[in-house]
Order: sequence, then C-alpha cells, then structure tokens
Amino acid sequence: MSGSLVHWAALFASVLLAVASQLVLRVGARRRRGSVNVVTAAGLALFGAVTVLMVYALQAIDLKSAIAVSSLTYVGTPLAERVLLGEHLARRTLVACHVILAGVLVFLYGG
Amino acid sequence: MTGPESRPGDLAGAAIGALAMAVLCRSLVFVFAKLAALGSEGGGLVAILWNPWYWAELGALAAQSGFWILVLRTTRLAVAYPTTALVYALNLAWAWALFGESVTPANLVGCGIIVVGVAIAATRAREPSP
Repeated sequence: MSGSLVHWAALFASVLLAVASQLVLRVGARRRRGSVNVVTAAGLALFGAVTVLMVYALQAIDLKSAIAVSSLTYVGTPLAERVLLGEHLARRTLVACHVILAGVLVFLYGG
Repeated sequence: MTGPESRPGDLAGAAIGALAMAVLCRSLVFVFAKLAALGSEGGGLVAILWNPWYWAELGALAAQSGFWILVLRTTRLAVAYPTTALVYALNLAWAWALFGESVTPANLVGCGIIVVGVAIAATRAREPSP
C-alpha cells in the first residue's frame, strides 16, 4: 500500500467526518423550516472538510485504495445512527456492513 | 415510459439516463479529487483550495445532486439507490485507465464484494402491495 501514516490517518478521518456529516444533516433535516438551520449548515461544513481531507489523502494514496476505504461510510453511518440516534439496525444492514468490511480487507490485504 | 406492465417508481425511461449521469458524476468526484491531489502535492490547505480540480470536484458533487433529484422524481429510492454501488467498480476502472494504477485480482474480488455489500446496504425490503 502506498502513502504515509499521516495520509492514511487523513483518509480514515475523512470517513469518520463523512459519517458525522450524515448524522448532523439528518438531525438538521428534522428541524423546523423557515429559520436559519445552523445544524444543516454544520453538516455541510463537515462535508466540505471531507472533500479537503480526501484530496490531502490522495496526495500519497492510490485512488483505488482510497475508494475502497471510503466505502466504509456505508458501515459507519448505520452503526453511528444506532449508537448515537438510537435508530433500529436492520439485519440486512448488519449483513451489508460485514460484506463491505470483508470486501475492503480483501481489497487492501488480499495480495 | 409506463407500459401496461410497468409500475410507478420502477427504473425506466429518462430516469436511467439521469441515474447514469449521477453515477458518472459521483465517480468523477474521486477522479477530480485525485487530479487536485496531484496538482497540490506537498502543499497544504491553501494549495488544495487554490487548485481548480478541487472546485471541479465540488462541481461534480453538485451535478451529481442535481441528477439524483431528477432520478428521485420518477423512481423509488429503493430501486435507484443500489445502482450507486457501481461507482466503486467504475472508479477502479478510472484508477487503472487514467492514473496507471495496477489492478490485482484481489482488488477485483474485493471491489466486487464491496459492490455487493453496498447494494445490500442500499436496498430496502420492497413495500407490500396495497
């Protein structure tokens, strides 16, 4: 695998921030309309940070590896929704999380 | 688009074109991000923000959102969303074709597993017929 530890840290931080932005945007979407929605703005700002972190990570990491790792947002988002928002975690989602995780491991360490 | 066999919300007609564009734009987000990275290599935040490819990345994100809205006007989310998993396969092809990255059999298998996993995550159980 290419890239320094700092760039890999940036890549995983971009995944965590992408998950956080999804949660914040979801919370913002539940708020009443008609007023300035600070929560939604915060969610968009987080997503902006994700785009910068992704570019920084790609300065030293292969595109193919970055894409594989970015799929972990599909794992992190439902888990974070379960833990932080108390939402139901469907069995199908749990299966998908395991499949994606297996795919990322095969992709990165499969040889 | 609606023949006697089709149901409202099924993927058909103009929605297919809009969905293809949404998937293409989503994959271009990563391509432009890589181009921005190559153009700002060794630089920090300012170098990234001043790189035109970074703004192309944001433009592709906006375009993807626009096409996605068009898709959702005629198609159920449960039908359209799983196809976004194709972004991962498309980007592996871009990485090989545009940036000369080597693609190993493990990459192909891993990507296939990811696509299946994302498709499962994005698919919701179909609503019962009324």
